[in-house]
Amino acid sequence: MGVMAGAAFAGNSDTITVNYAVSAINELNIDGASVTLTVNSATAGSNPDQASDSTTYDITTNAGADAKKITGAIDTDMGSGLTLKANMTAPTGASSAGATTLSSVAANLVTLIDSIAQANISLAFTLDATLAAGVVSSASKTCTLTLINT
Amino acid sequence: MKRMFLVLLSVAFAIGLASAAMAGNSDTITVNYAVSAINEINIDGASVSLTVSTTTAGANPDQASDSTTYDITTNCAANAKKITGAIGSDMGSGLTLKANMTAPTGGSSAGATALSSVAANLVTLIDAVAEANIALAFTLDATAAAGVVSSSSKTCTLTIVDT
Repeated sequence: MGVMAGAAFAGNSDTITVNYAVSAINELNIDGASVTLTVNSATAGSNPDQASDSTTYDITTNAGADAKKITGAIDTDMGSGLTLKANMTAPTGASSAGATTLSSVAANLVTLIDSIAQANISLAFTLDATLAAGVVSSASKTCTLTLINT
Repeated sequence: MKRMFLVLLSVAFAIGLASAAMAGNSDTITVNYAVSAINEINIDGASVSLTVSTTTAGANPDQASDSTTYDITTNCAANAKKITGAIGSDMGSGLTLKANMTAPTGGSSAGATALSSVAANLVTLIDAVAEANIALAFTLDATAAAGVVSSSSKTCTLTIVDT
């Protein structure tokens, strides 16, 4: 009897429940490992020239319209008379803050980021030094870029 | 066999976790930086002309003068630099060429100073500064004994050096 009931349920078709999901994806990668900025020139009578260097970054997020932004910070503040700025070109649909001073407090570099997958976007750094900063021997800062909620 | 499979599965899972930890919503970049010693001086004029041509009877000829300006940028420490001046070869007998550089802010001018082939201090105690169009004057004195001197020239070199 039990065998007969089992046969009644079985047949030439069957179903299966397919569970699925897409998790929040927020990936940011800086393509270069380092940049180097050396202020070493000036026009007589003027302040030292700005030094600049650049790399690129890649981004993938499925966060939705205007849901994300990228902030930037360095591990410790720059010394007196030194100004380090980052200028991130925005991925399509987003807005760049332009050249923005970096400090140990995170600053917005790109805002209003939509869902996007884009590679090799420009990321530029500049260093300005006042005369009062004097000669500064080689040093480095670690700059962290983070993709977070708007 | 089953145990080996579980071990391999654990290793694969650990590698997966490590990869996930490296990628993510942030990344870092090392920013290397430095500021080099900067010492720039520029004389705005290409030349000055000094012609001694007048006098008062009974006195030596009148001094001739001409001027230009200079620009300076240095990121040196306080009082760390000076400007020296020299000409390619000494002036002839009876002729005295002098330079008088106004000092940039914080510096000290030596006033009108005779120029020769040996560098002379014209400005001392220079701090970090960026300043343009500072006065630079030249004078020429000629004694009567120098006589008539046909057109000639000297190359004057101004140099920023350590104090």
